[in-house]
Amino acid sequence: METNYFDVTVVGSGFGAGPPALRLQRAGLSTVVLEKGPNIDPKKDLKITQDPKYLLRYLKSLKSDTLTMNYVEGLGGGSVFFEKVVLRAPEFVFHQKDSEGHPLWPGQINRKSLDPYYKIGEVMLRAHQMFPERIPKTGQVFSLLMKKLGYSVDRARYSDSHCTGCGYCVFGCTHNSKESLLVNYLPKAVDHGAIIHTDKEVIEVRSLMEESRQLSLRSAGCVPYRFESIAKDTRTGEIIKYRSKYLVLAASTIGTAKILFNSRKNLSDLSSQVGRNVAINGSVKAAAILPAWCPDADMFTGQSHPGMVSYEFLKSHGIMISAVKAMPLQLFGTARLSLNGEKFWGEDHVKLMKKLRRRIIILDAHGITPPRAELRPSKGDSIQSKMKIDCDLTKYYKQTREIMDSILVDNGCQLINIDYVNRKGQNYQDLHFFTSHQVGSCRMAENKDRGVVNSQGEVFGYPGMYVTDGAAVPTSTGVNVSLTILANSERITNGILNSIK
Amino acid sequence: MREKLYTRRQTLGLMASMAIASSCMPVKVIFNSGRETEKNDDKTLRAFTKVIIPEVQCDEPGLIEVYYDGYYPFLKYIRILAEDLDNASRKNYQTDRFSDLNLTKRTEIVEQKLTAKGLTSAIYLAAAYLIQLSYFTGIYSPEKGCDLIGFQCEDQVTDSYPDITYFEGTPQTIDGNPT
Repeated sequence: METNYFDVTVVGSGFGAGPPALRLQRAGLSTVVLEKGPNIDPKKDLKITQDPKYLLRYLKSLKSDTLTMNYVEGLGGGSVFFEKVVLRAPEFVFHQKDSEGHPLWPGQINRKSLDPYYKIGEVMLRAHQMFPERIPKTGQVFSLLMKKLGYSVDRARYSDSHCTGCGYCVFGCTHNSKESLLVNYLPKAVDHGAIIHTDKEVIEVRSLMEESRQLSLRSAGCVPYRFESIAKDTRTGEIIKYRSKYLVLAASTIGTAKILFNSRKNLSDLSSQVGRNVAINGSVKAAAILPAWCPDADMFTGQSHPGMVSYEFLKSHGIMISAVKAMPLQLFGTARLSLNGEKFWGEDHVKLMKKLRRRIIILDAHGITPPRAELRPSKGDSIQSKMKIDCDLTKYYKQTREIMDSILVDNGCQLINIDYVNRKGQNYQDLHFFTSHQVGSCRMAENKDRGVVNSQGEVFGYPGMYVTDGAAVPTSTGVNVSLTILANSERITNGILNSIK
Repeated sequence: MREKLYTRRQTLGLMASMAIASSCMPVKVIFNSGRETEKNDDKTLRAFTKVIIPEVQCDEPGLIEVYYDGYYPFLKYIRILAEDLDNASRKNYQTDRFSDLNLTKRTEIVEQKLTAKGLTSAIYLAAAYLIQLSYFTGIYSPEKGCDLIGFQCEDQVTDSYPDITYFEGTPQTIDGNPT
């Protein structure tokens, strides 16, 4: 069995993995990045297509009756398929408390303390506020609807350059204009000597120090390599070991929890909170036909996110509203649209679908929902999710829908039913949330009873083992979580570098 | 997509029901040659598709490819769906083939099936879902379905209204970041 030796093993290659891969390698620590998914060459592998076979090669989901969590397996992780929206979380996000009144963000982490790291992330991703002339029609129409009712609307911030507005952002940018990690952190890390191994799924990790202690072989300090990551080559099935002095887990909220579940037998001091407290930025959608006075929107061209957001309700209700530009695959793969009393198929449906591109608008709200979802180990080495729809979530959904419906109805729009379906075409029976913003499965906390890692991202009981991805972020952010994951990862990486000095 | 649609128990139950139903069929239906059966299934499925999306032409190439694509889990249900539609046609309208019915009669049958309970509606919902998904995204035949919803499958550029001030609302932030 092959064993490789590095100073640092980074598991994952998305927003949480970029900073440690680049910064630690640049500081002279030999670093290997292990990615479960395949290599992605934007020019060769990314395509303009609606074929599910292409997208589902990279886009995976974990489903339960009440929750679908989407994530990416492939080099660059979510950064390759995200909508390019990069926003700092508002200050009040960091003041959230749990039901017992304990602050959810530990160690005085707040917007002010994260701002320098947000700035670094923004520079790396070339973040900029959307230019007014590049707002797609859907964004303009959404802005107009909000303006008519006297609500504020802002142009959002994006990470791209030379975007053509082809509309295929979430299918992977074939124009190389999206600032995914494939064009910044990862190639820079490689330039400095980092090694990237794709198609390597880390099955479990071991603490060599703990084993040495248990065997009383020698003092822990004498063990040069503290961690061992056992990975499987997903193409050949070959098992490969990676020994390192530092271990950074950044395999996503789902992936990192899964690795720690599988490693529990090797990590006796691991917190029991692994997999719990997952927050999802509860997304609620409403759709309507535009009134006659309103100009056409456009569902299919312009970047995936329509560019305009309203923070109006973020402080008062904890929701951020924007419009949605769903491509046919996203729409028909997840929902059935119908008018009240009409069928989701047949002539009625075709009549409605003919209006889809120009005359239908879909609103989306991302909200500060409590960390109620949970991940659990399942059969074999798989994982399952669970989220009980309690009174709080029901109330949140109802209030959010009321706000969005009122925005549409007060503008004279005709509401459309959205029935969510699973990949077998069956309707979900209860309230069902979809998210790509899941965070917190190994959250930062003041102690091991409340979370898995400390405020420096270090796993309780395991010095040198860190979690730097969405798994460490303890709350919903309301806004897209990408930049917060990146900034927190930069902050933790900075702490690692300081501890080495 | 690769998951099994039904449990083994459910499938066996359905097969048993089909066996009972087929025992009442004319002998010629049971002893149809495989090739002829496939052709009939095709015709029935195309007729079903016309009910779900009335604007399709039944002879469009690639129209029902999604049902035969091994990537999706419908292959094993094609026979069940086709036979069930033909059975309903015989039972309700004394016509051997569902595809021989007019659109109104076909629609009545599909409506009943989609609102039935249990496995029947599950198969019909899955069939409707797959055809809507594949047709409107243009997976097998890019022209027709995409045209219907105004979607061009190829690369495009942003289309914005030039009068920016008419649309722009009052911003709450300086740079687009919430405070």
